[in-house]
Amino acid sequence: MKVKKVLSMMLAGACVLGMLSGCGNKDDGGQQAGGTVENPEEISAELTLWDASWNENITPGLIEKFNEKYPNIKVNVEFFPSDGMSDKYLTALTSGNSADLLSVNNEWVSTFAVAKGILNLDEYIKANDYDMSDFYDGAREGVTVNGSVYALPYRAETHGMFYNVDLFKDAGYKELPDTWEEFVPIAQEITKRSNGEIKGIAIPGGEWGNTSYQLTNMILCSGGSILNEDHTECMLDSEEAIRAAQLFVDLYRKYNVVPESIMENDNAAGRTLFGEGKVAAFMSGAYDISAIQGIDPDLNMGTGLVPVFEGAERNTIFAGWSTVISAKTKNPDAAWLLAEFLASPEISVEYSTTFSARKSMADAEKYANDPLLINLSEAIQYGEPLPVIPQLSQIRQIMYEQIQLALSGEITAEEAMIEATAQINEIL
Amino acid sequence: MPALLVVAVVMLFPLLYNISLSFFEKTIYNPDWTFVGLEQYQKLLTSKTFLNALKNTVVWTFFSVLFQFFIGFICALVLSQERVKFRGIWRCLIMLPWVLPAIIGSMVWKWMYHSDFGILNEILVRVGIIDSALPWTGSRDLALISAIIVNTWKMFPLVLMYIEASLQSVPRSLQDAAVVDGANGWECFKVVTWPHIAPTCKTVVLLLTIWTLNAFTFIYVLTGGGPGTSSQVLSMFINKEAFTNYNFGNAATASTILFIIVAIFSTIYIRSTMGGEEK
Amino acid sequence: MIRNKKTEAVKTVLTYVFLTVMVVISVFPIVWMLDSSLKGSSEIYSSPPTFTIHEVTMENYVRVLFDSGIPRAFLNSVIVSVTATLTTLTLGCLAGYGFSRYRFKGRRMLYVGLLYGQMMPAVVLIIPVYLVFSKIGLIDSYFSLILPDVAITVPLATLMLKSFFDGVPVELEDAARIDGASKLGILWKIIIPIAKPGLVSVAIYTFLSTWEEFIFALNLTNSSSIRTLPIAINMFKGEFIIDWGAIMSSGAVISLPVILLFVLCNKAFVKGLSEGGVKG
Repeated sequence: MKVKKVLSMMLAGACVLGMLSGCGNKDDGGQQAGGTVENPEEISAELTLWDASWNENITPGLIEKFNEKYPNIKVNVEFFPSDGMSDKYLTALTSGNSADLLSVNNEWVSTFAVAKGILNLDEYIKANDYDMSDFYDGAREGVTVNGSVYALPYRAETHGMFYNVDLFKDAGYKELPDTWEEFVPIAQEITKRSNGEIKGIAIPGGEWGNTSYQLTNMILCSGGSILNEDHTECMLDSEEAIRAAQLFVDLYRKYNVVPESIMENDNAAGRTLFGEGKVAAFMSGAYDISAIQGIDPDLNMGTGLVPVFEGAERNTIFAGWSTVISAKTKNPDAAWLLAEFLASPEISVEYSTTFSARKSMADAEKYANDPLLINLSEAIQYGEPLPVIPQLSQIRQIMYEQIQLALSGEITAEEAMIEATAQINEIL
Repeated sequence: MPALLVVAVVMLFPLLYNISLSFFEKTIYNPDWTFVGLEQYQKLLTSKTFLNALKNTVVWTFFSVLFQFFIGFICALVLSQERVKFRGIWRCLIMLPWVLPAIIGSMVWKWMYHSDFGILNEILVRVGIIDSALPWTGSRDLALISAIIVNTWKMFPLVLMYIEASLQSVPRSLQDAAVVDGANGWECFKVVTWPHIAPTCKTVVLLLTIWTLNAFTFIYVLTGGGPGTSSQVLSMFINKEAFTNYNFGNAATASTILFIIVAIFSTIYIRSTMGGEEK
Repeated sequence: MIRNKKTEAVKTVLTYVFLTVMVVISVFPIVWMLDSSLKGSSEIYSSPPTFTIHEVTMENYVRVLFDSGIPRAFLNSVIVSVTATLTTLTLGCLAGYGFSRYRFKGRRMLYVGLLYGQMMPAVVLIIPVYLVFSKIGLIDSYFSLILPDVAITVPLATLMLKSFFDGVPVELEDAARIDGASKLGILWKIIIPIAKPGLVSVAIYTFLSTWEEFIFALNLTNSSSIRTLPIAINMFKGEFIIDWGAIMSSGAVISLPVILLFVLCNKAFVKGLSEGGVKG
């Protein structure tokens, strides 16, 4: 029987291959290449950089500048859309199909490092006396996994509050208040004056990333945090965190100052509502300024810091982007040079679509002349990264699911936070 | 036979490979394949997310196929009437959704579903079917339904085509004879037409079931399985386990289970085809 | 009689009303896609949305055609789809002819195998295919897309072509054989021309399904020189903004070839699929 023969051969083949892949993967332990790069100008290599699609008009110019300095290092750039980017990068890094360098969101660094997909940069930093102190604390902490640095940051941002100056003025307020306690009556007044046509603030409740982000930001503003210092225990059932979650829910359910569409809204929806003048405020980053101006160029908007809770210290989520080097790159030295170049002060200002990850660049010309930007950049120094652990996205999913239940009124905010704490402790 | 070789290399081999992988564990923390036997099956079959995906798959498949078949069937009956002129043009127009690449169809629907700028809510509110804009893909209750609507829209034309072709093969003389015997429209359909097209209907339903079980693009584009996991079906679950969570072992296990489900329907389908084909 | 005529007329009207509704449902999303693609950015983001366009603009198309990865992806898609279609046709012809004409050992079993192959979920294949291709360094190559495309389309192509070949009388071949034609010669000169409608529909079917293939392209491509259209269209989804205007116009660009193909070969295609695809 021919068929049976073929079948059994196939089966044998499958077994062999299964074994091959079973044994063949042992070589990808976290290698620590590196040291001083000697005669960097003479290194010749070909590198590939994977970059985000929104940098498509920026990166080629930077590569030209890089080549003025290092003419023998050829750099190819591939651009990826945000959809599925982290999945693609993780799979490619772990299976050895990735580029030499990747531009990544700081949130992914811990996962990539744990998966042994990216290069530990400690050796390079030590050998080259590379100064990390100019990076914001939030940036540095965000790329440090188990005490080792895995990426060089270039971009930094936090959320600020955008507000509609005209609507605030009509309601009798000149500027953003410092605290949430002062903010609530303003939002109520604006909502009341328009008979509910215009709401006080847009909050996203329909997309896990945006919702968990803003909830966390509020928890930070109240002095709480998701996890304790050493990431062993969830702190969402603390008084501070519950106070913040309560307000997050109350803005919608009790004070009625949030659009009815909250449960379907992501942050882009909030931006649209704000741009159309249907809400008086929303929280977002500098990247949204041009988008809002695209909706209504004449909108009289202002920016400022996100309010804090009375008596709490200012704290906010630090977010950013960095360059990592694949653990499997054949040219780690050249890759280090490029990563270093992209993280250098002037270049990082150009490279970042928001702010530079460097303190020394805080009042770079690009930001200083724009009042909208400079107000937002003020918050960066208060930023701390989300917990640098691989379970982060699971944690955020849990927070999202629980706060959604609270927003829909099925459980209270307190119950939601207690349940989330229980679930998060389970996966830690 | 080179064709069979290609099929064997790219189908049979991966299938067996896949089944063998399902007994191994490979996660981000454990990059080497470790033999764990049936453990992953046990874990999966008791995991809430997997069972949720399974439940969604049943809902997704049942309602998609129901609507696809029902609408396609009615269309075929109407279109095959003798009174219809320019039948080819009607058919061509109705079949366009099927021709449009799934990704484009899904994108366009996603745009139509958009809660601020979507035309669908606007139309439904104007016509008076709903009072206020619905969140469609953004809501737990509607996400899966939104995807079912798109899947139905895309696939019902194919049902129409198959059934219509089969209707045309019903001999005119038999119908006329039935009418002469005094049968009314419904009796005529029941006695003459239905027995003729029933086998086609059966195969079409089976094919739709299998295609819908396998479908991935619609849900990936429209909802990404969300909000939460409210529209996660098996194919999404597998892709997510493999390429997002990097849990290849688990993904292989889940896809073996999906394969078994598909294989059951395939066997029923093949049995019914082989009856008329190979003796 | 008059009443009968009246009910007939009512029935006719109802029939056309129903068909019109179905056509509107089918075509509306496509029309809306074109409508949106011709709107400028301030108009496309207006709520409530309007069907009429105040100011028709080609800016979205200009962006898609001259300032994006779509043209390159279009080329990639053409390369992948055309190669896959030709390969599938060739293999399908040979295998279909074999099934149709020869009774060999294990034929039934292979036939069943093909039927199962036709049903095989792509998600079941993707994991092993990814792992194997990654091992042998084939990720991100045309080949890594073409091979699965062929494998997925060959079973149905073979089955359809077989049923077409079944309809070609054996006597024709015998006559040619007496004239001294080779086996392949017979297939090429006698069978293929007769089975042309079948070939056309198989070709269209294969082309359509490779043109829209998504899951393999999603996971197996990394660079813009390989990426096909269904993946490239995602490039218009930014970090925080989705460029719906560009997505709609590239949607139109991507759909155009398949819609044209379908409209032009509509008759042969419908005939082929309904005769070859489903057996009742």
